[in-house]
This record gives sequence, structure tokens and C-alpha cells, in this order.
Amino acid sequence: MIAVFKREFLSYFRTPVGWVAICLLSVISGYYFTGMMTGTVAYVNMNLEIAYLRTFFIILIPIITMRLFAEEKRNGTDVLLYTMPFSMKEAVIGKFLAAMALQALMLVSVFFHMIITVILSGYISSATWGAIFGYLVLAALFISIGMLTSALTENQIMSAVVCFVVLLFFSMLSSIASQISDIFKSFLKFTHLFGLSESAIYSAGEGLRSVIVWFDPYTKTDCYTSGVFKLVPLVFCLSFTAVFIYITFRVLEKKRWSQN
Amino acid sequence: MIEVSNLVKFYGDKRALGGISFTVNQGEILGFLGPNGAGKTTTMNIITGYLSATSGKVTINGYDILEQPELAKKNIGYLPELPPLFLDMTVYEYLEYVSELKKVSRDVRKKQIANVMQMVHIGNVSGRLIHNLSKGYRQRVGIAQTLIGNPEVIILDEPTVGLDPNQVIEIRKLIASLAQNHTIIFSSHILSEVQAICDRVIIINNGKIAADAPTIELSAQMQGSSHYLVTVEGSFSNVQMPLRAVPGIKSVTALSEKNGILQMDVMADGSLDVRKSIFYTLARMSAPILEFKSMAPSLEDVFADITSAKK
Repeated sequence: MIAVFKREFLSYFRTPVGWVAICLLSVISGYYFTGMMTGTVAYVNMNLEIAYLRTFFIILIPIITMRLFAEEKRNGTDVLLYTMPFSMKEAVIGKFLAAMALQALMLVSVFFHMIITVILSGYISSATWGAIFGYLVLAALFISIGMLTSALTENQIMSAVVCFVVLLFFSMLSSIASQISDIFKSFLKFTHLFGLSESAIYSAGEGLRSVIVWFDPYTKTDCYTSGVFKLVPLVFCLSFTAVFIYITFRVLEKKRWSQN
Repeated sequence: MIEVSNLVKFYGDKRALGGISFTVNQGEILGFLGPNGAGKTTTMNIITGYLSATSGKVTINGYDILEQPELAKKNIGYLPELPPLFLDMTVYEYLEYVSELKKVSRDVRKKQIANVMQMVHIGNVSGRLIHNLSKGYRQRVGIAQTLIGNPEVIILDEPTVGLDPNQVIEIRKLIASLAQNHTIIFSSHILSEVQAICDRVIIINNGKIAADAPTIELSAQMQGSSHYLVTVEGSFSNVQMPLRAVPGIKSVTALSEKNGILQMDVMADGSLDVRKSIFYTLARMSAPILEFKSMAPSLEDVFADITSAKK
């Protein structure tokens, strides 16, 4: 596992991928930080900066995960993973941790900003550490999705596009939930299906909305950004991460048994 | 050492392997011979654990490749047709990575990499990116990768494909030198190559074993008859009977006859050299030889010969 982790992590910096990802996030966070410092309020809130950076997952995570397995399959180096005396689980976890390590390293600019804030007599609240924690928990979930899409194809671009679409869906889940809820309410109102009263229809619609929103990882991990620790979002994200990692492992093992 | 029993592999409806069984003993060099698509690579992929068979069993040193994969794979070094190389790594980094994957202990890792590099003569390029190496060197790095961890079995899938003639000779020499300490399975679709290196040959065709014999036996089979392509100025009716009368000649067949130029296939007993007799006979018949070519038996000829001999 350590061997795969090491090779994968270092390979981000043998190609432009690692450098580009770090630069991109540094520029974005730098822009936001400068904006906070020079704005009319001139108030620095690191939590907001970290929460803002989460919105760029939909671009950055497909970039850093697309090559994890797709490239190995295309170049034929996956033979090593299948024929060496170690389990495919170790390879999957090694690669996942490498992508996580890069994702954590990408926060280097945020740490600089925190140091600058402290130097300028600013205040770093414990909520900022919570925001970083939430950022990493969400990254873990999305990286596991990206890794799965990479394991499903030999084509890196295809992997990135599919991952982008899935992450875009998650980032829009709140608004999608509102729309579905509105449609549902209108449907009930129009058809008089169960003869519900106005308030019951409203409650049913809102109930549906909250069920869908329950699956929104962004909303779920917002509590960390506000400095509130809750166990449910952590369990939610880590459980789904584990599920996606397991599916990735099964997809790769399936290749051994493939009859195509 | 290696026991393969009744391997069957289906790709959808297509049967790639139809019940292959053989054993390879310690220290043996087994040549796997067959045309493209015969099932050589599929068999090797199953032996190494890269693929699973639809049915059948493979054991390496007594370890089942599916039930005890880690123990079985410790005994195998595999070089597929496309060497699994990371072009963005240097040769040394790559071999170090492979040693880590093979769980070679940290204490012996450096020494073993140095030994392997010396064995396959890549010490001079250890610090170079694999991307910048020639195909021959890349193939050597691929072979070096198989030797890391000192496995007893080395499996090489068409290791000379795409190399220039000098590189082919070098790689063949290298494989021959490895044979002193390893059991080797080596696949090729080139008859002479397998003959030059291997102790024993398995010929595979359409997913089935067509022949399994020591190389010497195969060579004897090939020498059972020899073919000559002879082009002369003259007519077939004039030369056919005198040639047939030459001791050792089995048959004479006209391939073409045009504008007084005759091309024929002369089949002779492999144990006799009939070339001089053909020359004198044709000279006596005033049929000057324009071309005389000794034809090596094709893979298909060998299949036909060996399978017919078995019947």
C-alpha cells in the first residue's frame, strides 16, 4: 500500500497535474483572501475562504482522480497490480490516500493565509480547523467517487467528465431538491390526489425536499464550517467513501473474471 | 513447479481456451508456440493471476493461484507483451517500486536491484527516464522487473516482438542465461526462436494443445521432409519424371509454368541432402536453374506434421 501511495503521490509532481492543481487553488484562495482583506468590511474569515474553496471540487477532483486507474489500464501497467504478491485492496487504498494527500497539500495557501492573518493580529478561531476538517471529509467522499469513475474506464477524459457530472449533481442537489419539491406540490395541488389541504401539501413537499437534501454532502458538512462538530455528517461521508472504495475494488477485481 | 489442469476460458460466446493441461518442471525452459490468437497470452495471463479461468486450476510450487494468490505470485515474474513500464520514472525508481510491490525486504532491496541491473546489463541507464530508453532497453527493464524478488518462475510473453535483429539476439542470449537459475515459460509465434532457446515446446492452436514435445523431437519432426522451391527454364513434362527418380525425392509439384519458365515445389526426405542430385538431374535435362530456394517449414506445416504423427 505504501509503495502504491508513494508512487502515485510522487507521480502527481512528475507530471503537471499536481503543480497545476496546487497553483489553481492557490490563485483562487489568494484572490478570495485578498478580497477579504481589501474589501469594504476588511474582515478576514478563514472559514468562508475554506467553504468557498469547496465549490472548486467539481473541477479539481476530476483532474486529480481521472488518471488513478484509467491511465494504468491504458498503458498496461495495471498488470503489475494484478500479478504482484499483494491485494488489490492495498492498491485501491494506496491510490485513494495519495489523492487525499494531494488534496490536503493543496491547502498550503490557506495555511499561508492563516499565518498572515495571525501576523496581522487577526484571529483564527477553532471553527477554521473545523472548516478544514469538513473540507477534507468532503474531499474524501468526492475522491472516492472520482476513483470509481477512473476504474470504470480506460479513457481519462471520460473518467473526468463522468466525475464532473456526478459532483455537479451533488453541488446542485439543494436547488434540485427545491425544484422537485415545487413540482411535487403543484402535482398534488393539481390532481387533488389524496384530497390534501394546502398546509398538508406544503408539508409533504417540504418533507420530500428535506429527504433529498439529506443526501447533499455540501449542506451536511456546513456545520463544520460554522465550527459545530456533528457525528452524523462524518459518518455519512465516511460511510459513502467506504462504499465507493469497495465498489472500486470490486470493479477492478471483476476485470479478472471478465468474459468480454 | 507449475501445474495447469484443464484450463477453460470463455470470452462471451468465444472459447479462448478449451481444456489446456500441462506441467512444467523445475529448471525447464518451456516454449509456448502458436499463431496470433491461439490462446498463448490468455494461458499466461491465467497462470500469473491476471485473469481467472472459466474453469480449471493452476498451481505454482503447490500454491493455487486463486486460493493462495499472494504465495503463488511470490514465485512468479511476469513480462507481458507490452512491458508494464512507467515512462515517467527512472529505471532505478521503477525497479525500486517493483521491489516494494514484491515486498522485498528493505535490507536486501538495494543489493538485489544492483544485481538484477548487472544481470540484464542496464546499470549504465539506471538514472535515465524509461521514456528516453530504446525499445531494446525498455524490454531489458521489463525483464529486470520480472527478476526482482528472485522468483523461481519467469514468464515471458513474446519478449522479442518489435525488436530489431540485434536486439532480438541480445534478448535471446539474456533469456538463455536466465535459464540457469529459473524455470522459464516463453511464448513466441516464431518457430526458430523457440527452437533456439527452449528444452520443450508446447504448440497451442485454437485454444488447445496441438503438441507437447521436447524440442529435439520437434526438430526431428521438422526434418522429416524438406521443401525446395526450384525455378528452371524448361517444361514440367520434361523434368518431372527424372526428378521423381532421384532417390530421396518424395514429390514434385508444378506451381507455375509461363513463357517457358517453370516454378516447382520439390519435397524430399529430410534425412537426405538431395540438392546436388537435383542440380545434376536438371543439368542433364538441359533445364538451367534460375532460382533454387530451401523452404523452412511454416508453423502450419509443423502443426500438420506433429498432429498427423500423433494420430
